[in-house]
Amino acid sequence: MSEGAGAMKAIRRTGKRIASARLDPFVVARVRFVLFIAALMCLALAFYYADDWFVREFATYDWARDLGF
Amino acid sequence: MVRTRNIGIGVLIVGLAFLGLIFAIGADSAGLIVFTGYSLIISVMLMVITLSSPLIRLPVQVLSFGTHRLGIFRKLPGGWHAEIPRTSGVSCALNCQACELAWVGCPVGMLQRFAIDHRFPFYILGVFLIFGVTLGRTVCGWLCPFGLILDCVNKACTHRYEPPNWLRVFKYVYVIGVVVLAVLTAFVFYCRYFCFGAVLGIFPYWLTWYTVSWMWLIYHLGVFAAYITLSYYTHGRAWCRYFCPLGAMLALFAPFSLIKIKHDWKWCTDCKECVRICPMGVDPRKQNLMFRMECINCGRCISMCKTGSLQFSTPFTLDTPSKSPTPEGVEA
Repeated sequence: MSEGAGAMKAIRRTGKRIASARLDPFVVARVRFVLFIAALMCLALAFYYADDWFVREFATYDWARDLGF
Repeated sequence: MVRTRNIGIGVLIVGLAFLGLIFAIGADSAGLIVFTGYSLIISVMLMVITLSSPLIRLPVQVLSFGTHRLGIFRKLPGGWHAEIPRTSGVSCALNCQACELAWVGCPVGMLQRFAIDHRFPFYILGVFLIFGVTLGRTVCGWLCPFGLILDCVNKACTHRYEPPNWLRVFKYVYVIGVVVLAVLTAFVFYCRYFCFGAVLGIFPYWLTWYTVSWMWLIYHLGVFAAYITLSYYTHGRAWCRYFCPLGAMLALFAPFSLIKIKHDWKWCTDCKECVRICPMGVDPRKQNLMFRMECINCGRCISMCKTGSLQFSTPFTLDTPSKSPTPEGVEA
């Protein structure tokens, strides 16, 4: 019981520490750049290499029938 | 006046994105159309927020709602619209594409479809990333069609009960559940049973085809009523705080987004009006990770602040206060 309570306390403390953390603007700028490149790569892969399901079928897909309505 | 210094660059970027979209449509390339379309939306939104006043947000929300429902043209008489596709891409907002008037798709629905097909969702991940690192949760506050509905609901809410902050974690659990349930059940489980937005899709569908069973209508009305009841006692944006899987995905990237609300203690009188008015229940003065992840950049705190200590920060603005501090607002 006390172990469980201790674990909950540790989780709560970690959560609070994460929530109250402040990000370094320099790190933010770098991570943003990496994520932006990743976004461009994902879109390029989706449209030019992976032949995604979206490109083939999505424009005519009847979503409501898929929902079972 | 200081804020307008970079406007020229903004106009240039918007113009380039627009010309790119025209070129892409001419070239008939789906990939280019999607990329330039997103670039145009993002650059226009950056400009709108740079020039923002609290009066701009509602028209933008209404315009976004209308744009998501452009499928209404398919319902007009005549055969001229036969070539309009059912859905023309994925927007990064919660938007039920089962709706007969839908024109763009919902990334959460598409994420489930990819999971069911056991395909890696490059397209959806790309959409989350590109909107996440540029606009962040500004999408929730300015572009989401359901955000507009929830803001209207909020007008009637009592705000009697404030759930604990740790409940916000639930939306991350929810987004994992959405994918896992889709894989396990092999159908779009979340949209069919849990999404309160389905009510927006099911009624136009029912009015058009009359094929929807009463059971589905009543069920989705019940789901919608449950969320509205929760909102009534907590806040109109309770869905965005605790449940929205799209909001959860955007929140992961929002700390790195280009749009921020910045706070300057120099002018702050600690009146806490910004905290009281915040629809997401966060403290703009703290500027911590929770604020960065949860803030939907609606700007209500900015319009409420009498001293100008809060302001939008975009790539086209400078980090100086937008308003001069009023003498009566600053303590002597």
